[in-house]
Amino acid sequence: MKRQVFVRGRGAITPLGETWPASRDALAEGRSAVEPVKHFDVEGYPSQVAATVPFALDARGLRSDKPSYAPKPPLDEAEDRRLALARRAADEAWAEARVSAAPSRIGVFVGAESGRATYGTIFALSRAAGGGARFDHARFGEDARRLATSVHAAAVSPAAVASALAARIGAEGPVETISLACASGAAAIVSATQAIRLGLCDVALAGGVGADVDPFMLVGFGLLGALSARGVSCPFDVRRDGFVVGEGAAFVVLAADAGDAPRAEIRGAARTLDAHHLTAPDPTGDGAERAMRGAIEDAGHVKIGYVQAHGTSTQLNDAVEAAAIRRVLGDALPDAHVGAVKGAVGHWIAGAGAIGFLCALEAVEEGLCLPTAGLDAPDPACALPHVAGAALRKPVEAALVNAFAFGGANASLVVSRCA
Amino acid sequence: MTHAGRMAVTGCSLRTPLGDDAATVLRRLLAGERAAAPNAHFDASTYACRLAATIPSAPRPTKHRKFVKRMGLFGMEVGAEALARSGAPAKGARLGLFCGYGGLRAHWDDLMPVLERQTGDERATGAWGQGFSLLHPFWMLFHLSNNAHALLSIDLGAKGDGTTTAGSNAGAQALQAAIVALATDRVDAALVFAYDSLVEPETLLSLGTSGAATAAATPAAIVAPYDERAAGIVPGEAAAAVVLERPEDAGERAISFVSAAATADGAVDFPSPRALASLASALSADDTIVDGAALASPTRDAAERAALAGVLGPSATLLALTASTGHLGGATAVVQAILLAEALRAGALPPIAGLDRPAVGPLRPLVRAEETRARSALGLSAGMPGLAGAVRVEVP
Repeated sequence: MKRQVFVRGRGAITPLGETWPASRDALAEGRSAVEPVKHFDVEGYPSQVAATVPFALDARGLRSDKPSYAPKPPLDEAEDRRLALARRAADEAWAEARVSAAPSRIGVFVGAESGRATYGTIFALSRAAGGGARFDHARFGEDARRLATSVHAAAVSPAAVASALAARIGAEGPVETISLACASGAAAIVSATQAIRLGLCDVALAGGVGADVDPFMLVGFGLLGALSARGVSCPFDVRRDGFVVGEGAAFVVLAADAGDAPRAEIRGAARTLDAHHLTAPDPTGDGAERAMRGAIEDAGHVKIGYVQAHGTSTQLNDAVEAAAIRRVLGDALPDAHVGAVKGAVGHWIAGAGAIGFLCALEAVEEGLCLPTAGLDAPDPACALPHVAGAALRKPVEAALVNAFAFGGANASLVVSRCA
Repeated sequence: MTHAGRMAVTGCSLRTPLGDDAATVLRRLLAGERAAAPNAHFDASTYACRLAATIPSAPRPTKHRKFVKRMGLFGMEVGAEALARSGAPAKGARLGLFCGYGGLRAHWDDLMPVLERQTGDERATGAWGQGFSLLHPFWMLFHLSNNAHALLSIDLGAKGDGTTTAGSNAGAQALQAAIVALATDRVDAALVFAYDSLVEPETLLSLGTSGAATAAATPAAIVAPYDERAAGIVPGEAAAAVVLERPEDAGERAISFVSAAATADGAVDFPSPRALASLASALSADDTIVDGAALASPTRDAAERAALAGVLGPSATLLALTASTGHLGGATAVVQAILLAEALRAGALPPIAGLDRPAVGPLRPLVRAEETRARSALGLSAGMPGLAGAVRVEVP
């Protein structure tokens, strides 16, 4: 018999709120944080909007007070926005959870991408390398030494977030960093669920962070044609033309112990691979469908009342996902509702699946189904029982969460209300 | 800390600075060879760290060069080879694919022309017109963390569970994730591939300037880890892959067995010896051979030995494969899974290359190659920031 996995705490910092409750309230009103990028010059960019966290952040994330065996680099932690966002969300989740376990029984599972040196740092490194069209190693070897701390692993390693959070909560169990593009955050929650079920740990901090509102990411995704030229994120809407980059962090604390008043548990978890294309989803939706069916099968007998869709606001992804949801839910579709959060807070890439999970959690815990911001004219190809305009209140026994990534990686979870 | 179980290895493949097949690499390890040499990728004569251990070969020509850089291509090659050699019958949704990679690099060949005419102010003023518009539409795909994972899944038709794990202990993370997938019956075979290179400009800059990497001017001047004068690691690179199956499914095809674990402790630089010892404790079953993290710092090496002695006993045999191969970052654990098994099968343990004056302390750093009848060994790996990995290898 599988060990049960209970959700004990949750936290988020989003473009709409400094905490999960603040974010939830704004999401329930159908608000969107997408707006023109102001903190760098986007003139000429294929897409010029983003959803940015507007709140002040204390960025110190890595421990530096333990005995060291070599001089510590004077790390400029303030540059790593991933750590700053993740710490805020993780702190909130951890405080709410009030769990206790031996350090070796606590794990950390984080969806995160590599840290990116700032535009200014990359530019400075290029100048240290001569500033020409070719990288001058002879100059770089000498001139770049003053910049060494800005490219230290603590600033750029994808695993820096998980490592920092492990130290912060005193976790000494398994620590995993998943860099699976847009499915990372949900995939990390899948890993945490499996780890608790297998007995690798009793408590897990799991979630994801995205901090990609920077010139390189906007240019890169823009040139690829993935971003909205109109500057609107409107999942499943007939006018959708691409996603909008957003940022934020969302975490949950999972535990084998239900605690005093358990509200939700993860009943199903699954990951699949499309094995189809580097950027496009399999048009048949096979991988997405197998992920959803896998999670539902894993959950056993549950009634899915809400689906937190991946909903990127791109033409093909939304249509493929909608069709897959229709097939998976079948006759149960009319009793379910579907929401997607990217219209409100943008696409967090590695953090996307984690904020989606919190939205689904809200549905099962509070009966609050959050609306898909920007969805005014549903595309007939994406016909689903959407939650649009305003939040919907209804009892939800179980919710399905999707996260699908570039490269065809899919993760789905089923979270249910505790009786 | 506990681990997810023990799985059979039924296929493997690797690319290392010492060769592209396990038998050749073991022969060179046993001879005490070191791959360190003046950096073969670029002129590093002005860097604080001038030496490196690089893979001498190049990836085979492939259409994937449009989307994946050199080390990812190596990773895809070894992954396909390992699966072909395994004889694993699993296909499609029952075949899992787990990748471990160190992290993204800047790809300066693409960036320099783009940045050349920019002014570099904080707001990136005019950056589009001054260069960004020149970037290739596919530039982003080189920066897709799971690009090699995705393309290999397509090549192999792997449609089951799968992740890309990341960081300098990514190989151990990927092994652990694959073992979990097998233990929970999500797949019937799991291909694990890992790749990493520390021989990149920014990485060498960071490692060299911080003193973590050797400042030796010539290979002969390098001091081995666990030597009383040790003075830094040699940056290296590798790609390696193993196919894992449940022992009962592998049957006679099992060439070895592995278990794995990974953790992190939030240290800015290398993880504490305590983290390494906790992994050793989680995996060990009275093992007497350990391939150490080999950080080549007298203080760190001593602390590691003291911590491991508390788990393995003071007389355990201490190896340091990376003294020969160079430090392999996120690829380390998978390379260890292959090479330690090769050594155990051969009944021969390689010496710590270049170890002349072992520092005094617990454990027994191996100065000369020696025969062994042991059937199991531990491999540890450590990387920044605060990342630790471990693999236990057992041969039938």
